[in-house]
Amino acid sequence: MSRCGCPEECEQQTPHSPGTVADEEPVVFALVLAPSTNEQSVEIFKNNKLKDKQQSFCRSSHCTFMEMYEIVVKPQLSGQHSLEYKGYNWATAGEIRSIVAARNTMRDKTPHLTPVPVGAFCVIDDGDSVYRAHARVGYANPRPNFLSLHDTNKARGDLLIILQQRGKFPGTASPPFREEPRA
Amino acid sequence: MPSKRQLPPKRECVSGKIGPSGSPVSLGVAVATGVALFAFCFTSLTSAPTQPITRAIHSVGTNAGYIGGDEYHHLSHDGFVPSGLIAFDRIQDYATTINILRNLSVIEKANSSVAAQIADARKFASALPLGLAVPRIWTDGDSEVVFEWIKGEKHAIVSFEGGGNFGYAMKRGDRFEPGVSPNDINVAVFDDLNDYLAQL
Repeated sequence: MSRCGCPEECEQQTPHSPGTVADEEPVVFALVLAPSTNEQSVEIFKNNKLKDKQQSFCRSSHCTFMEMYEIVVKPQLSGQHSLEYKGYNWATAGEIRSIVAARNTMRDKTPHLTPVPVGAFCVIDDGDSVYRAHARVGYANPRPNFLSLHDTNKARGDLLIILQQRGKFPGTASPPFREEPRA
Repeated sequence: MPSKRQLPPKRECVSGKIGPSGSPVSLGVAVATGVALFAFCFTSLTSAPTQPITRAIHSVGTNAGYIGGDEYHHLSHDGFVPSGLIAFDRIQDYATTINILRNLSVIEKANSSVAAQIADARKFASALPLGLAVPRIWTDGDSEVVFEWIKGEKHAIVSFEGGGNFGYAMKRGDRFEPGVSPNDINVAVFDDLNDYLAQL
């Protein structure tokens, strides 16, 4: 599968990051949602953030559950009182990268220029000094308007399936998280 | 569409001869009988149709996604439907469209920044076949309006980003499939989506 839409995956993006995200690494998506949001809906993702490759995930092998909760979940809950923490889903980076941009090329005037298949999502390291485990996920974009709106809907639907296949977890679990230090 | 039964003949309240006129007793009997007869006629003409009417209004107003089920058939088959209520058949057909348009209006009032997306969503809603389930409709507040049908293993996503740009995907098995229609809502023909939604 071509990763041509994700050149950022090949190089470490920030000095505080533990490195590029390996395929076998678990990545966690925290469900901090409005009460009206349906957890079975693609509404849990922010489409604009997926387009900008800015949808936040946690590289859970590089942090504990409590670290993620303190740095990611708590600020959102205190910032917007209408939000609720509903738990988290996780998948490996490789599973997310395996989602194919199943493009409909029926109307593609230059299909020979389009590599098939192409990964639909990039999983990119984005750690900082406070939160080394931050990763960001977004649509692969080898060229402008590569993915039509049909394709992005298909891709985020598949992302929902991949994330939900292990179920929802409320708190500390290893895997996906690094074990909590013993007191 | 189930066929309608013949309506029962109307009960008529007619005054018959009551008894020898001029008699106080017979006059009292006549008055009492008249009151009773009026009460009977009033009750039989109003109580029987009232229940189906109430059910129909309730279904359209609060749970249109399930209209076409038991409520509707009960209404059609019970034989007490006055001819004026036949119009409810058509309301039932349009219940999903009515519900979608109502929800879009609610979203539009709360999010003026997605007016273009709402306009496209209205075009789409008007092109949907009648009698489909009601979708969940939501917006991110600034860039898209989304219809989602989720039922069991079926899941369809339709999104509008304004400027006529729309797209959809449907879950088949353990993956989604993208739509095949053009992405322009003004020229779109989405038979694949309609076939999928008809199964919900």
